[in-house]
Order: sequence, then structure tokens, then C-alpha cells
Amino acid sequence: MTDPLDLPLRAVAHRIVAGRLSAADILSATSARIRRRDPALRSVVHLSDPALPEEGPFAGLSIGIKDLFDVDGAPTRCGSHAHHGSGPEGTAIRRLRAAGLTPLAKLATYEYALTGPAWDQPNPPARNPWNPDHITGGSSSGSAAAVAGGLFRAALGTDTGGSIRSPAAYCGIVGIKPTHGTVPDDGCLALAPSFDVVGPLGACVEDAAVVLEILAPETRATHMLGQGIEGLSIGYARDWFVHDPACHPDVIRALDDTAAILSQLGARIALVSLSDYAPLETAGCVILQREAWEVHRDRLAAHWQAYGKDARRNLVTGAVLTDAHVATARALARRFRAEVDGQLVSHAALLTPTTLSPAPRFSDFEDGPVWTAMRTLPFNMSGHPALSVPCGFAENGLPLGAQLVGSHGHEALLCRIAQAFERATPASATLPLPADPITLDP
Amino acid sequence: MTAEELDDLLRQAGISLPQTELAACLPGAVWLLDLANHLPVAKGARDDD
Repeated sequence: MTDPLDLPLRAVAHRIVAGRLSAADILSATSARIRRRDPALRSVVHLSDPALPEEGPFAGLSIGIKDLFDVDGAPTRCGSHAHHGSGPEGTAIRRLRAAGLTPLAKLATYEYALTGPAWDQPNPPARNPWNPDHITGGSSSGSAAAVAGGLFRAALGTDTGGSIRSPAAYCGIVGIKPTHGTVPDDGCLALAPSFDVVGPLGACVEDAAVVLEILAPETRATHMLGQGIEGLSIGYARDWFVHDPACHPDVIRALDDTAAILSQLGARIALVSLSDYAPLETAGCVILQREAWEVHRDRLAAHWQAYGKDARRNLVTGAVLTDAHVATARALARRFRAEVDGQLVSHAALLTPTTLSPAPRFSDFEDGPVWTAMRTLPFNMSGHPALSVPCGFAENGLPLGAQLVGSHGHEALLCRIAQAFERATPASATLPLPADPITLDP
Repeated sequence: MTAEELDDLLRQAGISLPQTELAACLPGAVWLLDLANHLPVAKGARDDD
């Protein structure tokens, strides 16, 4: 019999409502599993000890929260020695509580959602449950590790350049970056406000969709689950990544297989072209770094030494950018949004990889930050919703992710396509085994 | 971009760094500035949309 902690959120909630499971017992069992498993994962930076479950349709169930959000009774560190904040809970946390989900743990983040992994933060980097020698990706590092490690069925993250989607891909789970502005971000520390998005990571599409619908009911993210995808057209942006020297051959194989499976499910796959990637990534970096500099400038001046060295060196790059650079970058962003909107007139979604490789090793970062190739940042510039779903494994056994991109406000359609794919392939909705306990060399 | 120019920019923000730290920050700043200086100008994009 499957442990209830390994069942989707709605399945457990139904059993609790029906009186077959106790909300208090599930909450207690979740805490116990976290205490047992997390020492190997290092995903949790603060574990709460609530006396009672929250009240609501998901009473007894829990969710992990990236440590950028203020949560009552827990410190907010943002992964930094420079931060000791604790403000009132924002709308997202209040909506989770109102649904009955207990924000049981604060989860590791790259420092201020910027750069990582780093070893001069208050907590050591979270480890990839598929192989603890490999990074989780970030910046929602603890959120991805906690979900893939079975601590939670879902966690809250933020995505400014791929920080939900890339760790979801590296850890073999689902991550949704909703349309910019869909989920209220009050009570969460900003990084680059015109890119920042709050969203869920889930063990499966359904869990991620359930949490997104709680966070933003207007998305109706679960309402198309279970529907097929026959007749839908999906634009496969294959030329956008296969010629990139950083693209791992296993990623090309996995994405081609993904397109084939979607086709077998009845979707029409059309190859589409998008603008050259490199200038888009540069434009995204310019806007992100300039906004991050503006957010952090005063705190940097007051607490320079308290920032980690990679974070502070990253942030000062924004100081050299001019208004003209930002204007040029924003013009490219507008053109790209129009281009993607144009493609989405003909296609229900676009298909790309999330990252161009499986998760790198920690040892690759010993000499400092390493640029990891992805296809995520342009959709923070354009604001389109994007979802990463597990799509296979590299030869080294690490998971890979496919990214689906949709029209603004069409998260439910992305969830529908992703779940149809998930149900058709054993690569999805699979968590690493053995998972209890995970062992780790000292 | 030189170390002196970066130092000037940071001092305007109230950040005064020792030379070693300034030198450590310089490569990233130069890298991003070079990329930004070579951004293509988008044709047909309006500034007011």
C-alpha cells in the first residue's frame, strides 16, 4: 500500500474528508519524514512545529516555502547573512493557509535568488535527491530538493530567470512559472520586479496545478486536467537549441522523444523558429541585473561584507549598465513577446528544453559560478506562462525537463498538455528511489 | 571599463571597496557591459508599448 505522503494532494485530501485518514496524523507524519530525510538533502532551513493543522479543504497537508517569503513564526533569511527580516505574511501564504495547507518548512534558496550554489550562505547548498553529488539548480533549490525527495508534494518558489523551472528540470519534478503578475508577490523579497513570478513546484502536474489554482483561482489550472490533447498544435522550437554547443545530446534525444509522444497522443507537432537565443539572453540579463542592482544597492552599501562573495560580485554588474542599455533590452523584449504571441496564434503551446544539460556536479562550482545553459529567461522577459515537466533521463541517470510555453493566462492549457504527456511516459511523476532514508557520504 | 571607473560608479551608490575586492568585481562587470554594448537594436519595436 502506498504511503499517503506519496499520494497526490487531492487524493489525500479526499481520504481525510472521508474520515479514512486523520489530518493531525498526516501533519505529524510529514514532520517526521522531514526530520528523517532532510539531513541528506539539506533542503529545509526552518521547520515549524504547529500544534494543529490549518483548516480548509486540504487540512492536514503541508507545503514547503522558499525562504524569500515571510511566514509567521519563521525567520526570513533569503539565504543570506545580510538578511534578518520577518514581515507580515503576504497574499500567497494566506491563500495557502486558507486552503488548509500548512506552510511547514522554509526551504533553501540561492542567496537573494541570485546565484549559486555557494558555501558562504547561512546554510549549505541543497542536494539533488537523484544524486547528492549534483546541484539542484536554483534559485528555488530547497523547493525542488524537498519535492523530489518526498518531503512535500508541492512547494512554493519564485522564478526571475528560470528559478522554478530549472531546478524542477534538474530534480525531475514539475515547475510552473505563471503569467507575470498572476500570483500576488507581496510578502516576498523582490529580485527584479518586472521578471519576478511566484509559482509552484509539484511532484506531478496535478499537484502543481492544484497549488497554482489555490494561489491564483482565476487560472482554473486544474479544470482541463484529464482532457486529451488530440488535435492541439504544438510548435517545437528545435532549432532554438540543437545547434547550441552547450546542448547535451541526451537533451536533444529526450526532446525529440517528447515531441514524438505528444504526436502519438494526437497533437500536431510543427517545427517553429524563434529569434536568435543569445541576444535574448543578453537582453534578459541586462534588465535583470539592472533591476537587481536597484533593489539591492542600499543594502549592499550598508552590509557589503554580509553578502556572499558571488552574490555581491553579481549584483554590482548592474551598476555599469546605462538607461540606454536597458531601453535597448526592453525593445528586444517587446519584439520577442510579439513574436511568441504570433506563434501562439497558430499553436496551443511551444515546446523547448528547460535546461540544455542534466544537473552539473557540485565540483564544477568549486572555483566560482558557472554559466548553465537554459531556455528559460526569455519567457520572464515576455511574461508568458511556462511549465517544466520531466521528459526523460540522461545517460548518467539524472532527469531532464521539457518546457511548454503558452499564451498569457493559459496556464490551464499548459497543465492539460503536460499531464497528458506525464501519463504517457514513465519518465514523469517518478521520484528517486531509494528515498527513505537517503544516505549521504559525510 | 576600468577599475577606477567601476570604483566611481560604486562610490556614487555609497559603496567603497578595497582594491582587491574591486579587482574581483571587475571581470563580471566588464563581461556584462561588453554584452550590453553589442545588443542588437530591435526593428519595429515601439518604446511606448
